[in-house]
Amino acid sequence: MKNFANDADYLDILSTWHGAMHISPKRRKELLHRLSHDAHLRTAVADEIEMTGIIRAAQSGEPRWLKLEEILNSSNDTSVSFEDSVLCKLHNKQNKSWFSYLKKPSFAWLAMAATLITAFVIPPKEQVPNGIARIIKYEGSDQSVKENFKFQRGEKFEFTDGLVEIAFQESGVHLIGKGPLEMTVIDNNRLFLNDGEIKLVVPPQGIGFVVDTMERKFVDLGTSFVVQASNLGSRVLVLDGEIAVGTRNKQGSHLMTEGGLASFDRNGSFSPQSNRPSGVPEIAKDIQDSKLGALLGSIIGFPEDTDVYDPNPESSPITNQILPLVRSNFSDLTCLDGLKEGDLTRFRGIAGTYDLFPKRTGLVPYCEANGWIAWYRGKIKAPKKGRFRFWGYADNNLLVAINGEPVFEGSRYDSSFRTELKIPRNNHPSFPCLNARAGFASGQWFEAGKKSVKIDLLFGESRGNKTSSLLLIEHEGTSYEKTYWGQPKWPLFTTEVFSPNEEEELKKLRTHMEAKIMGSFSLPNSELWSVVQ
Amino acid sequence: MQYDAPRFDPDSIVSSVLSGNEDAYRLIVSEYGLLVRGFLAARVYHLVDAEDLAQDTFVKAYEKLEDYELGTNFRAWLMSIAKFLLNNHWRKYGNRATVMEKFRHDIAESIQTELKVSHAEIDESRIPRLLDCISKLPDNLRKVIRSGLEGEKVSLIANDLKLKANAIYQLRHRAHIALRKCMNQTTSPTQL
Repeated sequence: MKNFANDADYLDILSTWHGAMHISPKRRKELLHRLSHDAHLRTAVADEIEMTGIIRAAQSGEPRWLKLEEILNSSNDTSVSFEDSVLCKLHNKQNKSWFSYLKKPSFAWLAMAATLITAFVIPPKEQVPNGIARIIKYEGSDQSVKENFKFQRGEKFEFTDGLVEIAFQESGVHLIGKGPLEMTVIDNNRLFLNDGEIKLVVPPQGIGFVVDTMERKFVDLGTSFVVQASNLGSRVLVLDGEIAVGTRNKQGSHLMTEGGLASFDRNGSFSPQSNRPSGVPEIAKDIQDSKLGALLGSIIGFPEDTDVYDPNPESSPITNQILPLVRSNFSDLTCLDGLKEGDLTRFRGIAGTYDLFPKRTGLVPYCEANGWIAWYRGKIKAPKKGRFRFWGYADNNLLVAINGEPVFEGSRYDSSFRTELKIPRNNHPSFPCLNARAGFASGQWFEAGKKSVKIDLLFGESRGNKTSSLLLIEHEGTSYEKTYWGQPKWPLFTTEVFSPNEEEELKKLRTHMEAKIMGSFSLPNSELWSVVQ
Repeated sequence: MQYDAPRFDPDSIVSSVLSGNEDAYRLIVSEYGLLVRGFLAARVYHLVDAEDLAQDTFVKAYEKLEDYELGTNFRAWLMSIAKFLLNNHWRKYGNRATVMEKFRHDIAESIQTELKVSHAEIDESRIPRLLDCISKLPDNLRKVIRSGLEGEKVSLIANDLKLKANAIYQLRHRAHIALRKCMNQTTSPTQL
């Protein structure tokens, strides 16, 4: 067989295949032409590509296929039982309170597992003098809920609205429930959630606490987590630590760690947190009229049919193109030469989906495959003196600079803003934001107050038209209302008040986030940032 | 020592799964896992996408196992599912592809027949020997193989070995020939 090791076409095909080289349209045509006429070359390239695939897979290690595991476990009657696997996990943690159980002979194990498995036949209410759990606080209007109420084994509890706090006597497990809620306290270390949402904080002595729903068992392994149950299914979000999730009546389990979010529907299917577009609605805020006092900006993209040379073609051409702008503290505008600019638009906060943004801001037609960036800039003044920091996330790109220095970068994992600029950021997986597995990102604190500061804000899409983003701001020392799972509702960062219609839309977005992806925010009140002309 | 592993019989495993021993399906996943993952990793740029598609392939095959006709070619049946899902993936994400992703797709289209032949020549029972064969490669070839070639890795490894990027592809080509030879040896892998 012919040796292609020194064939320039062969080498160029391989280097473009592996994403290491970007070649001109003319060269691409030449290579495809050669391929179509040279059977030996086709064979050599095919062998090389096939072998590369096998090597990639072999070297990447064992995959963790949760969906497949879920299916096999749910139909498997011979594998290690759910309780055994959980207790095994507890054994590994060397938890003292469980250790005595682990030393029991195997028949005792089996008996205990059987007891747990059949525990769904909820035991009749049984009197314990001091109860097994107690309501320590209630905020709401349901008259039937009394503070200091003591729960007995098998006691059913329901209320219509508000927040309730319950402490379990022996395990020290702390539960916050949000009405409407319906649950049954089964034992010191187990409850059944019929309907509603609860957050649990489990101290070391409570490890092994079980929350049952119709679909799953959630076993705490030293953590805090949120469970929701409804007639459609159940969901769990791990805020801290680790939990084991087992099937309801069958066997097998898998672990979920901090930031893990999964849904289980009634027919048994399992949906781990998606990395696909968020499904967050697009909000049509008024951005057109460039009125006085508005922070202004425009959207930038490549003209239609642009073929961009990009040394790293897997990243976004538009993001790479404007890296020099960021690196020069927004003083070198030469990288914008040749780009297409949309209409002048007002900054009205960043929240929701922006799939239609290029169209609404006059950038269309443009080269969609190369992405777009909106750049807002101006001088702004804080509503009060102090230190502030941004929170948020964007699919794909989000960056804020104060006085030319980037203070926040909340882009997706593959954004050049993230990979090239390496701006310090903290990820918070227990505070889910849009579709980010890493959760909300937060930036560095910066001072603002009497003097105005210069702001440069960039956000946009790497390629295509599936864009979503959220940008919030926190003032150090200010106390914010929290979601019941503990996320402060930082306000949207904006420089203008919203109209009643816009507020209504934003509230819908917040409801959507809280219900679907467990993220949240608040609307800015009178404390708005102002624009200095 | 003779390399004389017994041939894997997928039909008996499929029968076992269909008769209620669902756990036996893990043997299918274990036997064909690397083959399916390798097939997809060769055709999808992001490894994470390839892994997702590979998982979907085994899930779909499990769900459709009753449709498989015993006595025919299980590997071909399984790979047809992988190809079907791969085509769906292309259709779904094709409109978001970059110029170079589209070009890669064009290359794949033009060598489709050769890719089929090349894939068919890979004996799944030999794949487990691959890692052992890689460990037997001379230092520079092993380094090139282990570094991967995606994105900017080529320039990094070229800098590291003080070679030009093209020389890395040449080394890679040589390494692949050596690995194929090693995997197809009837005796256990020895120093190449």
